[in-house]
Amino acid sequence: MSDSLKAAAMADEERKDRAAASKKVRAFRCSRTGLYFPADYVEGWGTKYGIGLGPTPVSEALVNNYQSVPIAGEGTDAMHPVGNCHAQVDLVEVTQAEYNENAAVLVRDDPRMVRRASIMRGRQIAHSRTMQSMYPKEVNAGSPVR
Amino acid sequence: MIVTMQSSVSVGANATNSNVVSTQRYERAPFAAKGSMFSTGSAAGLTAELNVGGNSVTPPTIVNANNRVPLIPDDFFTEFEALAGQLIQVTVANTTAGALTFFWKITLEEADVVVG
Repeated sequence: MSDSLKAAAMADEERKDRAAASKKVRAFRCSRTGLYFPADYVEGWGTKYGIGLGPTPVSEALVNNYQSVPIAGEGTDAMHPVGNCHAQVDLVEVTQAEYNENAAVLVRDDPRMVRRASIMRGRQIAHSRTMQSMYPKEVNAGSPVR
Repeated sequence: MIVTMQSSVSVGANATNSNVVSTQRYERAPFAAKGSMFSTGSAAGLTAELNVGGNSVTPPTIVNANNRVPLIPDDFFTEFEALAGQLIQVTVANTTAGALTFFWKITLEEADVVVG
């Protein structure tokens, strides 16, 4: 394949990627955290999503409870307790790229809260003085903060 | 006579609190009573277990994730009977990698409990 043909093919791929990224998708947006849930969030409420959260579809995103003191688990890192925010969810249309950027980690994908606890602990270290004093910066350099 | 206890407790990641009622005024039933327990968790992943006078009333049972002080009757957990002086013990386990809060309320209503 000649160089010009290769360049044309690459440009075509890039155009396709851009088109896919700018394509709008439906999602439900948590009004408190801004995280996105899948388009079938309300339809699947109580079966796929929100199990144990009551009959009305609300956000299952987690928020930190800074009013409670950080507590240590068995052999795990200390952190403030977390809880479901129960905020309103709104149907929105966003680009696929934006959705992917801010997609919520679903309870069904993370039942033991391993990924979500890591994210929440990172946020706590960034935002809570108590946690900052417990975790020196160099220890938590790798903590994901969103 | 009816007495009530209500509180919340943080349970660390993968940890167990052997008795969240410990040190409460009516940790031991002050009279023979019919009791009701209500509970919620701040997020999914908590289990609670009620023992009264050394008898298991519930095995480890999933707690709802309503993240609030328990409402009656929505957050009903179980009913039980207690004789005067029997220890009420609620064991809570957190099965997740994040710290969670357990909210609970226990009411004790004086009753004639038939034994035997």
